[in-house]
Amino acid sequence: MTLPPDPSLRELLELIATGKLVGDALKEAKKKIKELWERREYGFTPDPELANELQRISKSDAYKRMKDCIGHHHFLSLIKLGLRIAELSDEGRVETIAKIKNSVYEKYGIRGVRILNMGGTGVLLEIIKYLSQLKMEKNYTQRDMAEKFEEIIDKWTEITIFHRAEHGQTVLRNTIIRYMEISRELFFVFASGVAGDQAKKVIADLSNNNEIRKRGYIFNLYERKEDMTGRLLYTWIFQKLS
Amino acid sequence: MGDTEIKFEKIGIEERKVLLDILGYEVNEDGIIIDKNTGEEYRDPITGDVVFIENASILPGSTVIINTSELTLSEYITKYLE
Repeated sequence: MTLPPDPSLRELLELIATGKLVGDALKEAKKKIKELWERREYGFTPDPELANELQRISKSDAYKRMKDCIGHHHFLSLIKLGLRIAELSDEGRVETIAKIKNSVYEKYGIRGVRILNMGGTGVLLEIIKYLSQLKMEKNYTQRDMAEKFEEIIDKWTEITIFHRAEHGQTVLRNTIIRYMEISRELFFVFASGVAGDQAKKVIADLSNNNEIRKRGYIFNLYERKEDMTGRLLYTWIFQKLS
Repeated sequence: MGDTEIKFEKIGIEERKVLLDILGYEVNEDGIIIDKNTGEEYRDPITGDVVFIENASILPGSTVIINTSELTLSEYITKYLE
């Protein structure tokens, strides 16, 4: 059998695998496979959907902004997975998320899992916006931004307030004031649904009463659709003015 | 490689074996990929583990083969395709 005209890589592999090629035709096919392979146009994987999905995330605006912020940092692959987990969470893919977390924990420990959790709660997108804006405003280098990001990961439990409705407005108000009084350079408040409405009221009151500015802080509010129910997740980022 | 778009596809085990053979590998009776030059088990450059043919991703234009998981594919794409 001779080779068909302009065979694809897949066709050539199939022809050889089925044993239809011998002698010169086989040699020619192998040579052609090498040439096509070196063009770097194809990869083969048992899970092409996943590989193509990860490539799509690599080209997303959020990922590109983060890469622009921190450069070729060793956490970039986890940021990619964090953004993927944000989508998997929307789809309710709990088992897949658990598998990813296990493998990340084994290799990167709790810091890696925190990045994934940031993705799962939707916070990662807000952190990317925050870091991107900070880099532009302060003209920070990628190394500065990588340090900022690592600091956020390391201090995550100290600098986050996940407000729930049962905590009540007074608890939230007091916690925010306490964080400002102990001079946290940066902290986040997250809330959604009824808790989000409570938090909006508390923070608006603090702002209107000048309780935030007088302590040397500013804040920004980001909101995004949290899940398939369409609930809004509110994120407030408080920053101490230098 | 910048922003080059690579098309990832699935091929059968026999086709994978053909490509691996051309790239300098063979598969032993346990399904583990072996480096034909050294006769030793090939190791995933990301995890350091042996690679089984059933779970092998053969990556674009190279002789890099990895065990396929969300983490390894993400690491590979970040390291080699961006």
